[in-house]
Amino acid sequence: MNKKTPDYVSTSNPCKVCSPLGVSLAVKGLENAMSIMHGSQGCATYIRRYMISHFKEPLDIASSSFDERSAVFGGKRNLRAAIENVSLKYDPELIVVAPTCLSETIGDDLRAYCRNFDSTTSAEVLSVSMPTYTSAHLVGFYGAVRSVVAGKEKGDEKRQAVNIFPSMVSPADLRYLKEIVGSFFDKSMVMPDYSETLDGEIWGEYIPIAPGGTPQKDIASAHKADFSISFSPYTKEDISAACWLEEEYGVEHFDLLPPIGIRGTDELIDVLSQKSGRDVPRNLVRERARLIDALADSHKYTFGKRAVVYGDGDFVAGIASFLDEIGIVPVICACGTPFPRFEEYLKNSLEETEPEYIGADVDFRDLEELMEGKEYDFMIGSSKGYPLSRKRGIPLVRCGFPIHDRIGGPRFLHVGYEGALNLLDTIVNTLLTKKQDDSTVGYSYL
Amino acid sequence: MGSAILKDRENQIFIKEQSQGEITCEKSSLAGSVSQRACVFCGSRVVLYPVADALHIVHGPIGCASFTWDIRGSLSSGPELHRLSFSTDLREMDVIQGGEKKLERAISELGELHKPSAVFVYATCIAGIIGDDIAAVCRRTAEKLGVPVLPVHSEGFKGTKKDGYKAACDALAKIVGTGDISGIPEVSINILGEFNLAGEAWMIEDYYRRMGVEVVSVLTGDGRIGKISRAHGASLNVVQCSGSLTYLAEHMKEKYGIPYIRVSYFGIEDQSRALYDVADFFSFNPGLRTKAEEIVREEISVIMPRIQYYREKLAGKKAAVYVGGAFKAFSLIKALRLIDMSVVIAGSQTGNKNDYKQLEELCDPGTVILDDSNPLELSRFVLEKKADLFIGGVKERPIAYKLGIGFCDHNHERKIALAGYEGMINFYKEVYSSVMSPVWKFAPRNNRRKSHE
Ligand code: SF4
Ligand code: SF4
Repeated sequence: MNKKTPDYVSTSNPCKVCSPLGVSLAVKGLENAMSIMHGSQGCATYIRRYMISHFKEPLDIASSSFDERSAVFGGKRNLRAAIENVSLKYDPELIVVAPTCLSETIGDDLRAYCRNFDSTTSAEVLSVSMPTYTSAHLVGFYGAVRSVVAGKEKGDEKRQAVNIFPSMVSPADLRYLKEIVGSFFDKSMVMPDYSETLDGEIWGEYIPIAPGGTPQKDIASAHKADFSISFSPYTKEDISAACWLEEEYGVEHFDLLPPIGIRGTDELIDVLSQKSGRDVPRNLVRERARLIDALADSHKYTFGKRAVVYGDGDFVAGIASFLDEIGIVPVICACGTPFPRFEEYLKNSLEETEPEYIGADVDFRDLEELMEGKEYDFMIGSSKGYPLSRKRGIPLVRCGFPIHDRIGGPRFLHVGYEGALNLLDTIVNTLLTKKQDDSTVGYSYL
Repeated sequence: MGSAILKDRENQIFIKEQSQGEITCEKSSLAGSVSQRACVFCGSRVVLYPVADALHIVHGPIGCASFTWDIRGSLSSGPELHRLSFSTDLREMDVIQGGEKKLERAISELGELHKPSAVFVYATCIAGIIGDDIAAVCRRTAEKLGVPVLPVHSEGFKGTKKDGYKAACDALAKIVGTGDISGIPEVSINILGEFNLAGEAWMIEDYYRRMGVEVVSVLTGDGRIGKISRAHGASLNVVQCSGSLTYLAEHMKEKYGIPYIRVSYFGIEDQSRALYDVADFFSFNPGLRTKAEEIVREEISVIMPRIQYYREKLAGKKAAVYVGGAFKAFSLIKALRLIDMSVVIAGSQTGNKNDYKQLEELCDPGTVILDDSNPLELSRFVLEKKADLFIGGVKERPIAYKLGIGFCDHNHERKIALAGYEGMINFYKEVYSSVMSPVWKFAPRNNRRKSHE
């Protein structure tokens, strides 16, 4: 189904960004940590700009600022200077170094650089191992979490019962996930956790590293936890932190489907309830009941509607699964990044409906061609789909990452029962707005 | 927390009448300093982006193209190819085997699909490091497509944003001079360094037209290859901005003997001078000067009462200015002075010695002058100097907001016209609506209730 291999030529209007962005996002969710993009200045600055437009928060990301010399002779010296300067100014506990395409191409051995270099920094310095070219933001995100969990000096204290490794969700999602897990376990770790660092408050003075993030001590004790939960069952194991903990330390691992929609959330709640031995708390039971009540209220507006879903793999799978369970057909499921097992992933996420197209490594030009000649009720995904939705006159439900043309992207809730309710309301109201706008009558009851 | 200023950066900071010697600048960014700068590629992209009937292909891995897709507010009156993003999206195999074949196919395929008037091929860091002969690919494909295919040597690590400007100018220089210039009158100019953000070029063109000056080509706002190819037919180049297009102006002076003047369209004073200077250049036609005076009078009489309103509201407020090029800072300082606002911090990403000297002359004593600064420094001085407003780009916005002060966007991504007379009012309105917003009353700085531990 991957129409681009073996002979695709170019990418127009991409539906992905590169892996170092994923790294810097993940590191933003670790307590007192800084990331360094090992390469030219431009990559770090562009990544900052791109993320600031979504999160509307400061995003200090350092670069080792390659020049011609380092591009030819290697960037070891620059990296050392970067580490020293970052330590001096930000005084982080952890520095995470991400390769960029440039450092990968010239063959800089980041691991070796970070392991043995003589520096005065008191920070722990870890590098992320990941391919830069073959991958995209989500791989960088998972890769960073895994590299930090694996590389971090281990503590011997048992601190948390469970490690939660979310996908690239919103700060609001992280807050809510923590709440859910917190109602089953007194101590848990959600990693990364940028719920405060990237959706914080006005400070009054500039704080070099935003407060919040997954505590370093918890990360050091991840191997002592009873079990881990991750939400990326079809992602390669070599970038999964939970897989690593299972292999190296025998930490039990539940790799669940994304907790978007009822089925996904139920699955998560079941595991939590069963492992904790606690009953599902009343507030979650009520949330679920309210959600189902709302589904009944709106089912006529949603049934049989045709949707186009695009974005990164985990997002598309989660959203498609939710649409599927409320009777909307995710007609086109397009993953913007290369994703070998995407089709399998999608098919296993759906029960009621059958998409007409499932494919990975799709850009917006492909999507436009795919949509040619057929009718759709709405598109759902990041704001990067806006030009296409405008051109085709199809409403766009903005969610996921990035949202560059609306306020509130970081506060959009996708996960859990409350997230499903939020998605439902947004989708149905989008459909109703369209219906009302298109109507010559202008009914005031719908 | 460590000190906000790194030792190696100390002499890139200058405080008027307090610091000794002169500011250091035009250095490459210090590793790990979280510079607000981008790269060479960014500089080229900024200059060429508004050329709307050309294909802009980024030769490299996907990020460089993703991050610059539809990123700016440059308007086009016709085609909008510039708002699309094209990349060769290099993968591992391409890097090993070289990307030339892929690039060639991409240019051919996209060229046939979109029928552009020219193709710009941007070299990114990776294209540079794997040693693709982009120029050769461009030559081959140009023949096939029958339109100019121009390499832009913008490898990110080969210098700073300024080198990117130069690379872009080199590409433009190959188009200039290829068109038919018959019929161009003597009283004619090119507008250089104006990117038509929110239609600014159209406003400025209109002023000149009303004066009786023909605008042959705007580089590159609402740009068209056809018009650019005729640029050598103009009598004068009018160059705006901190010299992103100065290289081209220099080149045209040398090659075609076309002189250039520097102007700014920002602020009443500078905008008016931009009209007068052009009129004076064509002094054999005194009617131009009269016409310019008329326009200035007319425009100012319209906006003066409104300026008075903003002055009353904003007098005494303090601003921090951090922009890409230093030239813009000059205009901003003057514009703010007009409403009795002062500038307490003035800095740029890419100023040179001369720029900073001028800036120093223009500034009040005690003003902090910064070269290639970063969030920690900027925020430190904003607090120290008690600024009420920050003027900068997207990356500076959250700094201002986190500190609980107003912000005005003054870079290439803005969607509001700030040039010309009308733009002046828009600018004051922007400043006003941010500085005077009641929301700041709830910011911790002004609120007795402490909201963070
Ligand atoms: S790879 Fe080079 S050209 Fe591309 S954004 Fe990074 S620094 Fe700029
Ligand atoms: S070079 Fe690689 S890391 Fe840098 S912006 Fe481009 S794709 Fe991203």
